[in-house]
Order: sequence, then C-alpha cells, then structure tokens
Amino acid sequence: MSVPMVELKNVAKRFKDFVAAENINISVESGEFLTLLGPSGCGKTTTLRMIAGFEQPTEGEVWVNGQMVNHVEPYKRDVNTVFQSYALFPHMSVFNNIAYGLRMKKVPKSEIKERVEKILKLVQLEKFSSRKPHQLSGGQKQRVAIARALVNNPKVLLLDEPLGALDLKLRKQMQVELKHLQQELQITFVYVTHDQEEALTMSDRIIIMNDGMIEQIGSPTEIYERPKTRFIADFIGETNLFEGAVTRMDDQFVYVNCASQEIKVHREFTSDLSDQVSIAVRPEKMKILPAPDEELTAIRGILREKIYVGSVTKLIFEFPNGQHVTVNETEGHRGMSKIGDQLYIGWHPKDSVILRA
Amino acid sequence: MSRLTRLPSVAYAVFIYSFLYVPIAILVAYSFNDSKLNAVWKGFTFAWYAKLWTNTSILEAAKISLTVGFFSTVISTMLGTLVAVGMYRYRFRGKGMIDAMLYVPLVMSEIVMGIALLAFFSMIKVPLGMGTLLIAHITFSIPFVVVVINARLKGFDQSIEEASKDLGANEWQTFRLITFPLLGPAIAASAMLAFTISIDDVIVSFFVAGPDSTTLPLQIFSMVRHGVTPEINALSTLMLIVTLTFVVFAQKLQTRKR
Ligand SMILES: Nc1ncnc2c1ncn2[C@@H]1O[C@H](COP(=O)(O)OP(=O)(O)O)[C@@H](O)[C@H]1O
Ligand SMILES: [Mg+2]
Repeated sequence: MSVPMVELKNVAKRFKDFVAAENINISVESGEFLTLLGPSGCGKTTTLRMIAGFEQPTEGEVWVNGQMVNHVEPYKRDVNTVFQSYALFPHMSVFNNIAYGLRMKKVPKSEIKERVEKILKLVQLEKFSSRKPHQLSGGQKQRVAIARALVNNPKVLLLDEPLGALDLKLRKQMQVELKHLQQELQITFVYVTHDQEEALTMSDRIIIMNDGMIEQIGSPTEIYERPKTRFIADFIGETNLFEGAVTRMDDQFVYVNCASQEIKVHREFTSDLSDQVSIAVRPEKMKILPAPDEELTAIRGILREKIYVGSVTKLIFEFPNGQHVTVNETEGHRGMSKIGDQLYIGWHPKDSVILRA
Repeated sequence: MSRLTRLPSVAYAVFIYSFLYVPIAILVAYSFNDSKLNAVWKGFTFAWYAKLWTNTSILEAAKISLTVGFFSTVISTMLGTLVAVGMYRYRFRGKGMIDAMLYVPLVMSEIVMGIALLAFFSMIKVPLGMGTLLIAHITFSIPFVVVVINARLKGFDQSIEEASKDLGANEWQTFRLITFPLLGPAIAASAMLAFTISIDDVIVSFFVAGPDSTTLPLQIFSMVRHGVTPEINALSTLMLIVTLTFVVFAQKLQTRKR
C-alpha cells in the first residue's frame, strides 16, 4: 500500500487547560477528498491548522507525504490552504495574488505568467486578472483564493469552510465545481465544513468530530445510514430516536423494548449493546401501513400535525408512550390522512440502527 | 426641500463657517498688508515675509522647532507602531487596562502633562533644553501614533499573514511584502500627525523648554506680548500652511482606497 498523503498520529491540541482536539488519528490517501465535519467549535479548524503548520500539536505527530513535519515551518510544507476569510492580499491584483507563491519559489517569470494564466482560465477569471480584491464579488474572491493555492501544485489542499460566506445557490454551484476540479487535478483535499449536506455531496470519506474528538470515520453512505453514535444520527439529517432496554437476542435480531413494545433490529447494525440503547430510524424510511405487517416493525400512532416543506410533507405522529415521530408522506399516500387519525407506522428492521443511548 | 425651509439651514452653515474661518482669513490678509497697524488696509506687500528671514531669533526658533519635530516624529512613529503591532498580536493579562492607559494622555489636560513632565525632569535633575523638549514631544505624540495604527490594524485580517507563509514566504518576506505595505499608509499618516502636533505645541513646550531652546510657537507667544505685528501674521500664516499640508496628506493617506 502507498504511503498516506497526510497522517495524524495520536494528535492532541490544548490551549492552556482547554482541550481543542484529542486522540486524533487520521490517514488521508493520495487523491482522496476527505471532509472534517462537525458543529462549530468542535476542533476542525484547529486540526487543519496543525496540518498547515500554524499550530503545534501538544501531543502526537503530523506526517505529510511520508515526512514528519511537527517542526517544519508552514512555508516549507507541501500543503496550501484556502482560508475561510479568503485572506487575499488587498494591495495586490488578482494576478499578483495568484503569482505570489510561485514568486516565493523563484519560478522563472515566463513560467509564472503561463501558469497563472492557465489557472485563471480554469477558474474562469481571465478577465479579472488586473482587478484588486475589493473589486470582486464574493464568489470571485473565493475562486481567486482557490486559484492562488492550486497554482502551486500542492500535494495537499486544505480548505477551511471555503464556501461558508456564499449564498445558497452559489454554494451549491461551487460545490460541484470544486469536486470536479479535485477529480480533474487529482489533488488530495482535506475539507472542513459544518454543513452536513455539503460533506455528504462532496466527500470520499467523512470524519465526524464532536468536542475535540473523532466520533466516526466512514463514507457518506456509511455515515448517513449507519451512524455509530446518537450525536451523529442527530447531527446528520433528520432522525427519529427511540430509547429503550435490550430484552433478548437471537442469531439475527436484537430485541429492544421501547415505545411500549418490542422493536427488532438486525444484529449487524448495532454499534453498542449495553442495557440501555437508542434506536434511530430516518423519516423517509418510515411509512404508513394499512395494517400491522409481519415483516415490518409497526407501531400505532395518532397523527398530530402535517408540515408542508416543499419537496415533501412531514407527518408528526404521537406514539402511545407520548413520543413524537416524523414520517415523510409518500407519493401514494398524499392527502389521505387527517389530523387525529390512528394509523400504523412501519419500517423494515434493516432500516434502523442501534446506538449508544 | 422647499426654499423656505432650506434658508435657515444655509444661514446656519454660513454662520458656523464664518465663525471658524473669518478670523483666519483676516490674519492671512493682514500678513500681506502694507502697514504697521492691523487696523487699516494700505496695500499688498511681501515685506513682512522678507523681514522674517532677517529676524535671527525667529530663524533660530524655527530651526529648533524643525529639529525637535523631525526627531520626535521619527522616534514616536517607530515606538508607537511597535506598541500598536504588539498590542494587536499578543494577548496577555491586563491588556485591556494597559491599552486604555495609552489613551489617557490624549484627553489629559496639556497643562497637567506639562507640569508633570517638568516635575519629573527636576526630580531626576535633568537640565531643561533640547533633550527634555524632545522627550516631552515624543511622550505626547506616541498615543496619537498608536491610535492611527490601531485603527488600521482593526480592519486587518490576521490570516493574511498566514496566507503569505502558507504560500512559501518566510517571516521577513511576509513583513516586507504584506504587513509593511498594508501598514505603510497608516504609518505615514501617523508620522504626519505626530509632526503637526509637535510643531504646534505651546503648553507642554512652555514648561519643558530651556532658555536656549525656544520653539517657534513659544517665540510667537513671547512676541505677541508686545502686540500683534504684521510680522507675526506672516509667521502664523506660514505655520498654518505647513500644518494644513500635513493634515491634508495624513487624511488622504488614511482614507485611501485599500
Ligand atoms: N488560539 C486559541 N486559543 C484558545 N482557544 C482556542 C484557540 N483556537 C481555538 N480555540 C478553541 O478551540 C475550540 C475549537 O476551535 P476550532 O478548531 O476553531 O473549531 P471549529 O473550526 O470546529 O469551529 C473552540 O472552542 C475555540 O474557542
Ligand atoms: Mg472553524
């Protein structure tokens, strides 16, 4: 197997007594798009800054391309950063901003011109090369920031919430463009975001961080469909959570007593088996049943509320134990139920997972 | 707005501006008046300006003012810039307090500052002269420099310096190519401000200047005791021009497009 492009080994970062990151073990393959995802303040930026060299780890080792870089200055590392605030040089033109890194490396003038022009074309900013940053829109500044990093052909590109300041539409568009760029240039991306949708759309692998710790590493599908902790199930998308006690197990299923009845979950989808557990089911995996069904888990609930959110209608049911669950109304069922109806809600055991309570 | 409602506001503006500028205009006008008396206009002349050049005590005072102004500007700009950058870059206990204390001299009565400095110099037994004058001018200029540089640093994104290092520039290259050019206009503006304040100062200088270190404003002050002569008008006009030039440049530099 090849050497990982970036590796963090048992890294911890403390500011005085405050633990910003701990037990960080990450290995990024060459050409991979890896995302650090987590709520604000969970230590994503700190982790990224340790790779870039702006922070020194309190413990552990940072490796880039087979070299231990703990004591290597930022300007000597083979990585480039796209900053959250763009951090363009306000007194320099777009061209000079982009050429800065090449000039520092003493690249010949003619080659600088050639490479800057090529990258300007790639990010569709040829016409803006003599403008100053304050004469650009947010999306254009963003492209300059990316071009300024990419022109150096870094082994690794670090991006700290690069699309955070853009409006929704532009953000969606830039997500696609960035992903294409990454695939085309085959550069390793370490990407930081707190936007779960962005992470799911763009990444090869996602690392979920919470409170300075890694909670789960996996592909977008794994993270979405098989969250390991309650925190992740809650943070990624919408989830119905049930709490209960494990009553028994057989070869195939684990049985949990919750919502006033026994719910079965496939054994392989359990990440924890203490007595008290949580079961997570996505709203789009639940459906309204005409009658209880042998194959499915079914619970009778009262329809309390209908919420129209555009693409779907969300139905809020109350279960006998007083718990509320959200179900996405399916095409076939549209408009057939009224508030106050008593209906069966069902889901397949393979669509639920057991989590630590 | 209708003409009727506009009239009072225009009149008000005219009144305020007349109040501010008519005395100055009169002073300038009389500096060209071909008469020993300020009261009547006799005709245009440059005679008073020519006469200034032959007045040795005025020339001597001008030399002292310019020397003190130059050195206090250079030293206070350097010290003040370092203070501002240090305050911006480092966090430490009691920083807020120390920061606030820097600004106290800006609002402190000048006479208090003058007396305090005089008391201090006599306590440490330093004879009054150019040296004490220079130290005093540096002292009251520093807060102004810090304020101007600070204002610039407030809008300064710290990650710009990091971006420079990220792109392969070392500390020195980053300072030379990024920090200094971005701070340059503010440094120049603060230097001009420091020079203006130094050239203009009367009160503090009055306390700390020695017998052979009379500055231009002090010289004018002593001449005025025997009445305002056209010569003084001419000298004041020159000082006005110098000060105005510097203030306008400082303003331009500070508001220049970033
Ligand atoms: N230089 C610092 N000094 C003290 N605390 C810091 C410093 N940098 C970050 N922190 C703290 O570390 C935590 C993680 O910060 P950060 O990595 O920026 O989070 P994220 O990028 O995930 O929002 C935050 O609580 C933040 O306040
Ligand atoms: Mg952050």
